[in-house]
Amino acid sequence: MPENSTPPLPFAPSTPPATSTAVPTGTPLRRVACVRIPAPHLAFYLRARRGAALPPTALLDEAGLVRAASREARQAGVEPGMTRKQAEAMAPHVRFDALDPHAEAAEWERLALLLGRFSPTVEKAEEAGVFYLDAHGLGRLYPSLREYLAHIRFTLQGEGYQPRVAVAGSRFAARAATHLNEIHVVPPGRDPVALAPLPLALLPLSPGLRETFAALGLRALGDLTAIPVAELEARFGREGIEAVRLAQGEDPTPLRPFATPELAAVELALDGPLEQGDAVRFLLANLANRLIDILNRRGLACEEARLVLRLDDRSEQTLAIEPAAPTLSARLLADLAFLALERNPLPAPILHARLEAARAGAAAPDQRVLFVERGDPDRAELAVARLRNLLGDEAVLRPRRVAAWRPEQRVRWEEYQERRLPPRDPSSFRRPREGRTAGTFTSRSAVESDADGAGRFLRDEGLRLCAPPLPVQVRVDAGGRPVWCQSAWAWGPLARVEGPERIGGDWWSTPYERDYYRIDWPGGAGAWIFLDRLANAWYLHGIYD
Amino acid sequence: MSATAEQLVTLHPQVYRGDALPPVRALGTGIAALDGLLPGGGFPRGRIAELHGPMAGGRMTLALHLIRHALDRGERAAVVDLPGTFVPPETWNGGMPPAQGEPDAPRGTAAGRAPAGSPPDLDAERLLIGRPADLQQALRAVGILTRSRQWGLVLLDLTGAPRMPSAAWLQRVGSDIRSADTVLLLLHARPVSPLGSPITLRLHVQRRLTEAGRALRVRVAKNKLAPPEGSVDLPFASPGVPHA
Repeated sequence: MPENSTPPLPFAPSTPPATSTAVPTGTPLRRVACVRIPAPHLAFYLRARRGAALPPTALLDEAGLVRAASREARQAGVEPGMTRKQAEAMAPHVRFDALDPHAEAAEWERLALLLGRFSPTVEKAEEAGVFYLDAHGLGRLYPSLREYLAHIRFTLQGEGYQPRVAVAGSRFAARAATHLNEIHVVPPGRDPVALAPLPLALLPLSPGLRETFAALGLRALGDLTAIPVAELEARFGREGIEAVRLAQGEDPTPLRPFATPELAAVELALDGPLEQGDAVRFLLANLANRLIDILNRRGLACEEARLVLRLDDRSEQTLAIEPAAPTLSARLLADLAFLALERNPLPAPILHARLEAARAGAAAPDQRVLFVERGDPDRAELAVARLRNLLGDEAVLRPRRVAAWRPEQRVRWEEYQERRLPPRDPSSFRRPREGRTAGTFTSRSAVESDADGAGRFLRDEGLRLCAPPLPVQVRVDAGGRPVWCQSAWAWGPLARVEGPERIGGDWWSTPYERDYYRIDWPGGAGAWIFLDRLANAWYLHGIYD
Repeated sequence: MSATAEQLVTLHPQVYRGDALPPVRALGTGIAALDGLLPGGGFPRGRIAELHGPMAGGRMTLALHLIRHALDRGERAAVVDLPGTFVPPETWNGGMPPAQGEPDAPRGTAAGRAPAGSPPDLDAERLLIGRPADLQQALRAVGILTRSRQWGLVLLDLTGAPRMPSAAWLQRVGSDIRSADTVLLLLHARPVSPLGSPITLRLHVQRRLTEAGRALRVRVAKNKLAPPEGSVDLPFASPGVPHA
């Protein structure tokens, strides 16, 4: 696999990845990645406030207990688990705010969906802000696990978080390894060594056993693994054995894949048959508003919707609505549905309508929408849909260059899709010429008038391609070069002839052999003609315009 | 100037005096010599412009420069192609190397490599080509695009059209784009000149063949934003044979 197959990241680690951290391809070793957002409640709280500077803050849960506190609040003596009164007594200047558990849960679901880009199996742990990903078998996609983790971290940084990510051989080992570095890869089989310096507090122990270990002076996971297993089993029984296995990185718990939340659907039964017309707009607006409301509350955006209509003649019509990008615009959804209906007239009035989200993805953070693209992409998308209704799908196109030898095959016309494109780098825009106002040039050569050399020449030349090529009459000289040509709009002796450019091929299917010439008549008109050497006939392939 | 006119200008300095034009938002062509002739350094935005000239006179060449400039600025461009002959220049100009895995170069063929100095490909992601069946469809398509106000350039190629758009249509579209950033560019062999035409800029384009090579002569035939003066000869950068 090429080392440079992915672009360098701005936070790429300074040390090259060890060869032992390369993604194992085809090996049975289990590799689990863990993504952990430190202080998740505060991180979510800060992100919701766009990262604005906060005074010392403590977040209270529904029981009124401090659940999280900022560093300044902790320095003032506020600790998680305190009541508000206790915290106020310790630090009167601390600001208290309530956690929003529903919004937080929706946010972790959204992040789990987002992490679905990096692994087929993603688990949203019960612990807030912790996710596990199956990192096995990704060798074809990423050159190394470090690069893989860097991509994950970069994505979540774009969402406003500073996660710590690690890969190890089990869930617990990966979770613990996130305490080692921001990005950490534990080489296969090295879990016990890597985890040894980490504190024992990371183990999920009963309070009694934790106190006992503390009394025995065990501080790190390595202290525990140094004790013979037989002694641990004799003194602490099954719990002791499980603790030491975890400390060695042995955690057989399988990943529990995060299930995509059930998609939304709304419906409306009409009192009587509704004819297709403007009244349908109101029906669709009602359905779209309700559907988008449901998706919005889940932090999702509609990628594809389905409109299912039950008609008066007992038939059913289903129309697919695909916005160019995941959308939370009810108006766009309703307009696209209406345009889809215009293109597919219904055979009977509507009795019942159902709008369902067939696909939904994570909604983009609000602050990004401002920079997505110049203008209003929704309006552009609607205009394209209207154009398609007017001209038909086959007449709203986009050219795509194709590698081919025959000139007529070098462009493929694709259906135009309005896409949300990433913003253009403003520095790539050409700067407009400055200081030019209404002109006073009169019959001056562009070469003379522009001494700096910029914009002196015409770089593109327009050609109208004749499809198919049109027969023309050509007279040639003794050498076979054209000297006179008659086409539909110009004829006479030629002032200039360039060529030939000979092409040929496709002997295995439809062979062709052509000699191309560029010709100019004295008046300036130009054309692109060729001699079909197999048929010995001349054709006009294009007109320079 | 009469005394009354002098007083008027003195009392109201904003009154047009021929040398104090309001700023014009314009979409340039990227050709300095031509942009220098045009109000604000290009085709004025929110206005209708027109390129006319004989068949194969170079209108499409000039339009391509405008399309490229709009796309380079990250704007959308649309071509309502009534004759159905539009092809992007890179599909024929400068050859086409075969893609990997394709058959080898056909025998006897010159190397299909783009010559040095060839312009880069158009940003086709933002280039919409509409192919209407008739003039009426073409005008309706232009109406849809201009009303959305999302396209920086809308090109209506009327080459070969049996008749011209009506004055009423031009007025309506003109008012649609007046406050937008759109340039509506009409291409036709003869000028669209109904009474009270809202066309702001009209350029006459003619190909020429000189001893030095091929060139395009562009003459400003009408300019509502400045005195309609001037013409310029623009030589082609690569007068060589296109690679087939």
